[in-house]
Amino acid sequence: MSVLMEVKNLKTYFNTEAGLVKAVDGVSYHINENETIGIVGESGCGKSVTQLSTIQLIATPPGRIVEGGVFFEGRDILKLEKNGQEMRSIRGGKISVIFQEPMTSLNPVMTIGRQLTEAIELHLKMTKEDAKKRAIELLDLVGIPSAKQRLSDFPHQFSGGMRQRVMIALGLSCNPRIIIADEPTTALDVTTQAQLLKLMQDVVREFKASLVIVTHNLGVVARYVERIYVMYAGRIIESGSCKDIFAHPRHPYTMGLLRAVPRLNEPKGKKLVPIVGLPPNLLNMPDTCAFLPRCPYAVEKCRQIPWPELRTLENGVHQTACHLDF
Amino acid sequence: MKTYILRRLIQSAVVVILVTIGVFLIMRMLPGDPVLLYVGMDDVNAATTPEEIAALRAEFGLDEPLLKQYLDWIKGAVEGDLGYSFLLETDVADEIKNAMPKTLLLGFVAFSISLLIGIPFGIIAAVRRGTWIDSLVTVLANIGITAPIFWVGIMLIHVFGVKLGWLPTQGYTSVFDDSLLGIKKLIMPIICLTVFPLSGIARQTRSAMLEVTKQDYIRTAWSKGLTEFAINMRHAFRNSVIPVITLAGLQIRAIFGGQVLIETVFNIPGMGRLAVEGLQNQDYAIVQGVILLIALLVTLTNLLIDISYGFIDPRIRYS
Repeated sequence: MSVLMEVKNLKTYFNTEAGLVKAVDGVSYHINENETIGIVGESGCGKSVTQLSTIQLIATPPGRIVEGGVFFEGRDILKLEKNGQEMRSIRGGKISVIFQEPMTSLNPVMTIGRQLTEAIELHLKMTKEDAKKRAIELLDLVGIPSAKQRLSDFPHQFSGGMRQRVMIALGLSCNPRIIIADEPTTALDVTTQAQLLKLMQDVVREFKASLVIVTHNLGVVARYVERIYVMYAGRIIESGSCKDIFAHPRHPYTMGLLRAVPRLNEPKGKKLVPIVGLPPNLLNMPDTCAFLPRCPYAVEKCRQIPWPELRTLENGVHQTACHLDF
Repeated sequence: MKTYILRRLIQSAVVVILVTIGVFLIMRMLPGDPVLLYVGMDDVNAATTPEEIAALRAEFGLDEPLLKQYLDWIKGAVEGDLGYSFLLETDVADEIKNAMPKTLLLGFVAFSISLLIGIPFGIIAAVRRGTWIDSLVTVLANIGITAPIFWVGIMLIHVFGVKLGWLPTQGYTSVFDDSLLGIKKLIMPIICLTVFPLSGIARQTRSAMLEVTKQDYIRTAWSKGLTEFAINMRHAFRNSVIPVITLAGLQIRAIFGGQVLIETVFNIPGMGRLAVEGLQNQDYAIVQGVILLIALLVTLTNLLIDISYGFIDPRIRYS
């Protein structure tokens, strides 16, 4: 397996009225070819911002990528001009995004067909007719019945699940190498969620693309991803294979997350254990571990040392940003 | 759709009729007597006897009951006869036929310029938010909205008419008779009429664009790798159009209102000046005729605007 994209020490800061917010503060990860990875974390931990930063989709101002590199196809794509021709051919062409909120992510005054074909015409250099044919194929693929007729429909004539299918079709439309699915199933009911995740997995395999699933839902990643990165307060605090993370979590935050997930094989009436407290305010981050105030395992040493860097554990893949051993 | 338009047309008719009734009554409630005013215009006024006045009153039909007067007038209006002006001693319909093209020309040009300049500047200000060009557009638009139209007129006349002597300050010449002079005479009145609607449209476009560019589907458009221009025009602007059109519809009324002042200040023989003259002389027929036509124009443009929403935004359906 070769590495398709590598993100190194990415830092994205936002200048707000209240001060500097370090939304992404030194994140490194990689995606292999034909791989599905999960980026997990609470709302506001910087997981979406990390993904949008990789294709320079951060609104500047207020956001700013201050440091880091994103190596894709042999070059650092953060060095490309933000809205220049090269960056735009990657954005949407080689790396596409499936956003959360299907209800609001499609242009309400443009037909579904046009929203698909404008990207296809742009990146695959197809004629209008060919692009239209491809749009029909894509809608067929994502399971929209009578795709041909529905091409001239508008988003409001589609249900939420159907719209997310359209978003998936859009994400696939230009044969991307990487598809970033940012909370792809948040606004949908559970049955639809499962269908769409399965669909995404199938089409990503068929298209030989890699998939990044960004979610706060551990249940989603457990079934579909190979490796997981857990983010907290703008940093990755644990990473490893799906099995590593679920069977042997090595960071108190991950352990807390897993305890908060209901399990079917547990006795009835067993209470879920929430993580007490709130995520830290990104405006004034302490030098010590950001999870310290909420950590049930905190020891005196935690208060004295700076936030631990990720360290690699015995199996060579699993990493944790905690100096304690569990 | 057809039933919607039909219903709206009927509603418009009701509005127009109510307006005519309102004007009809207000004109007659004003103090003063048009017949006495009319007689007063003659040199021989001192010699006019009460009998002659009564005869004149009967000749103009002003001795009839109000209801009959109104019904007679509206019956005539439907047939294209707007009554007789004792001020101008002509048919009001002829007078309006002369005045209307001038007013429509001024209004149409002012409205078009407002859209053609206001919209692009609003878009640029929104797209380049926070830059000097945004500040410039915003400041100018705020001045344009707050500057009273008559003040703009006086300033223009003072600077370009009196001090620099570049432009004629009075009158109207058809551009078909003398193109250069005709255009020169139109410049200042049109600027006066344009300042307010243009500023309003620029501001509305800017704020609508700013609102839309925050939407999720604009982020989707960015993620497709489209050019900034395509995103702003194809995606953002099309979604910003509705509030702009709504305001543009209101500005049509503002322009008609402004013309009453501007045609008087610049001495242009259009509907606005006609209305003012009619009002000053209590010439019922003129005022009623002018207001009727303006009411028709305004209700029809409103209807057109409401119908246009359905073409702009597919979510809007009429029933």
